[in-house]
Amino acid sequence: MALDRKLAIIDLSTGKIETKVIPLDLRKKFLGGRALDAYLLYNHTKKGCDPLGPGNTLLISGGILTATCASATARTHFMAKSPLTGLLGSANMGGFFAPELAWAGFHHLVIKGKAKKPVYIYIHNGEIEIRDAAYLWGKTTTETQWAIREEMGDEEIKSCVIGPAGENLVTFANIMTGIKNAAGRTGMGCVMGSKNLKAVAVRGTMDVKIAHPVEALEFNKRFIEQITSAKVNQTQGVLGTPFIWGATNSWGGVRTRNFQYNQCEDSDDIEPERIDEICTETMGPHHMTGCFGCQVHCRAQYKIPSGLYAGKYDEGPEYTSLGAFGGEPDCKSAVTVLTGNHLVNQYGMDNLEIGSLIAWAMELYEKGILTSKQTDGLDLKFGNDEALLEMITRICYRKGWLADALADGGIPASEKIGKKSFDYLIQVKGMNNLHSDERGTPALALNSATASRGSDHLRSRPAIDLYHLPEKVLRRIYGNPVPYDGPLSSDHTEYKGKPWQVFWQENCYMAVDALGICKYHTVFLGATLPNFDDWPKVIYYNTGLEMTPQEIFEIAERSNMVERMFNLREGLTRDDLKKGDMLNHRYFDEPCRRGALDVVGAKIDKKKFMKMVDELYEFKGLDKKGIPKPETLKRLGLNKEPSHQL
Amino acid sequence: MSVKIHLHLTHRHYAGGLETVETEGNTVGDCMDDLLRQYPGLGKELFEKKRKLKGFIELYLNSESTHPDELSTRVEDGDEIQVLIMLAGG
Repeated sequence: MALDRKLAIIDLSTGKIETKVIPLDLRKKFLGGRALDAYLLYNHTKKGCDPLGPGNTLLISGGILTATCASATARTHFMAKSPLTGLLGSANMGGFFAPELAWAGFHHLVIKGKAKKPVYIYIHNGEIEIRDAAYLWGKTTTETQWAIREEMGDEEIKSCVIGPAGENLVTFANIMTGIKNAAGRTGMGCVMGSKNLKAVAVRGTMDVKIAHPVEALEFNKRFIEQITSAKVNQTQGVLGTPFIWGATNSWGGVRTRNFQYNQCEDSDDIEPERIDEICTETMGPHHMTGCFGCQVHCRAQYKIPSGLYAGKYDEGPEYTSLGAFGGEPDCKSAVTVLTGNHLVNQYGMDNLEIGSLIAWAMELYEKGILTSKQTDGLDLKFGNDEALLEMITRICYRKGWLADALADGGIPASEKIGKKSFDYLIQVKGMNNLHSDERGTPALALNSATASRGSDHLRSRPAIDLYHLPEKVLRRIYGNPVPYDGPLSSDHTEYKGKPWQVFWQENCYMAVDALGICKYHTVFLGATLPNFDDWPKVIYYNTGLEMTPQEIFEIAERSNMVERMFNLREGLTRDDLKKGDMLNHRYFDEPCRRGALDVVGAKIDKKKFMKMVDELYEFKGLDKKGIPKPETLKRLGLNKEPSHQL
Repeated sequence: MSVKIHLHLTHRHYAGGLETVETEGNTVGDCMDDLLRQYPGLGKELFEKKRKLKGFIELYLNSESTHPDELSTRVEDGDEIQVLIMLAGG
């Protein structure tokens, strides 16, 4: 049974390993994946713990549907206190790791302490061992995965690993599996590095029994039809996520030259169609591939066509890399984007964070805040492709004063650089923003400011707010499973009704992360895709657990509240620019300068923005300071946390 | 058939700032053709080539997606078409 998958507590300091059954009542309160991880993090870390010390706890998990007959249950979740933000660290990746973990008998790993020397964890059909990783230290992410397979003589082993960036404690080092699947945000690879943990490798052949297999398969046929018939997923299956970048850039919603412009001009070479051409030329017409159990196939395969890394194979680039190595630094070469994407994948670094940081440094250099002495002679001007790629390597290996400073993250770097450099840093809660420019879209600005792990597009973004869906469609989506008859608007420049959309999406995405499925299989980019009403049957047929849509919504609310409680315990304060639900002043002060007519001149009205935050807090059951009201904690059954049930 | 087409905010300046345009036709495609006859500037925004919508443009008819039939979808008098852009914000 999926519900039989266990939890393991692995103490790297003592070598003690303990396996536990996950109590059914905790499943009913949190399901699994990110939601149960939030509970575990709150219970297994102490207030103020050092993110890089043995007191930090790293959680690794699959969702409650992982490796069942449900579609796209590929997602693996990681959680710990973030070394980048000092608040909630959380990241999620596709690939094949989580299903293999489930077949090896586990849904959740709780990794504590710190190994004395480099190690990796090997899990095989219920058995867990801690193995020497000295020979892996220094290897790239791909080299590490193949070295483990070679050592163990099994090419089917799936590993999540860190590269040199995690070893060097770059605070935004990520965790990788496969070629490009990355748990990118908040520095979870840095936490692994701090524990001397190079990899977690799994191999499993234990059956995951399905509660009602015939019904599960039959129902999944309907799901597959719903998912693959959506136009957004068909477009993704051809162009991958770059299609989002192309459409949004031509409209005027892409940060360029850090935050000076909102559109990358003359960028034909990095348009999605051009990237697709390169993929076709280097890998043939059938170059799209996918994660475990997915029919969308949004991931392109390519070889770098020219330059220093010509011929190197990689996957992507996602739209995030187009922003990070294209728009933000104003570099307009496909080869540069593909190379930057390759480097961060091999080094194990978050593409969003590093692209945004380098673009910030370029603006500081342009303004004379950074000098050529501080860049060690590197001409760090916008549009300098060589300087961009050189900085990626320097940051990974902490080479030179500036790279070493940036490797600590934006806020610590701004404190070292001084001279008002912080004013230009586009971050929330210490995490840099995605390349999207939200000055013309109040709903997205609210989501960026209030997302639990820092500025983020995958935790509460009502992306479909930009589509101009008819109000009737919006009511159909946002009026369920919890009744809502307040304002909703098809106009993306409006402020009214947006807090509810952000609240609803926050709960939708938490539910998705608890189930362990991909966000492209829910109301993220497609209005016709499954959501709360569709999930009870999937859960029941696959696991036997009976749930109503309303109960799933409440589980998501509860889990989001635990994340909020963790952040508050670690110092989140509502309007704090470094640790709060607040945007950089440029959102309010500097209007957009490019793009479509509805974008030019747009900026966020601070008074209306603050009112939106108030409304969102009200929906979440928080007071004006963003602290949960006692009645909210009681309603969600959280008034006795930490409860140490597991 | 008389069909009203609702334009996305970002497209309206191609139609003189209009939020909706009255069109005639028996299918969604006919109505879109009529829209382009009235406002040719919209063509490059909506279509890759003749009668193939761009991948990030979706058409709804009376609040339901027309995909995959899209342009061949039949319309009735008084129907309303909504033009969506899948911008997604980045």
